[in-house]
Amino acid sequence: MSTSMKNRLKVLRAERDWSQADLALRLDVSRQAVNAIETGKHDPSLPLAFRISRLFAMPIEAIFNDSNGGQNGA
Amino acid sequence: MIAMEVKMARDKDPLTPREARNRTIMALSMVIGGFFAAALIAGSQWMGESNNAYWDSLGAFSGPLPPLLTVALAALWGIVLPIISLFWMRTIDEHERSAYRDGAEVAAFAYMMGAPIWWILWRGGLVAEPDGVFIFFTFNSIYLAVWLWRKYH
Repeated sequence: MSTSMKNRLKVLRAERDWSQADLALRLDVSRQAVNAIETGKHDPSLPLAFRISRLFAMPIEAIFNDSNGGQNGA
Repeated sequence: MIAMEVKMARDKDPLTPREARNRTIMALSMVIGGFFAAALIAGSQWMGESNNAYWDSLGAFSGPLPPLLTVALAALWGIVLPIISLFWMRTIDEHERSAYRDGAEVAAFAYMMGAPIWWILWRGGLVAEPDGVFIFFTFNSIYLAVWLWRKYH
């Protein structure tokens, strides 16, 4: 069963007054990709998640969280 | 540098360079597809009517073609198209690649379900003989529909 992650991408983008196209250009992806990630229709790969993390200077888990609420059972 | 590109994206072109390259390749592919279709129709007309009135009505999908034209079209499909596809696959981002693979998955499933059903019903004398060209176009239509749906919806 597929579960998509929730994320704060839209909020972080809005805080910087960036359009989806602006963010897409900075991440080197299409605007549709940014929209799909923001709406939870596409979970980014680990390399793209790291690019997002570096762009916003925040740890990945501060931008994305899965349905377990960060509890990985470790 | 990137600030300038962002400004340009805002002011003029909403497409990222990657997406612009993507669309250029897609446009080129459509031009080649149009050329391919036009050559099929012209070649079929050159050779006279085909033996299948139904496909004739859709634009000459069956019947004989000039041999030299078939070699040229086969080379176009078998050599030029894979090269363009390779450039395209290196251009698209992971979201589009995912949408493309979803389209392939659904179309392959439809093929694996639909083609044997048609074939077995034909063996029972209930339907017309399976048509490879029809199956090919149906497969690609499903492929394209799912791919675009996953990309833009």
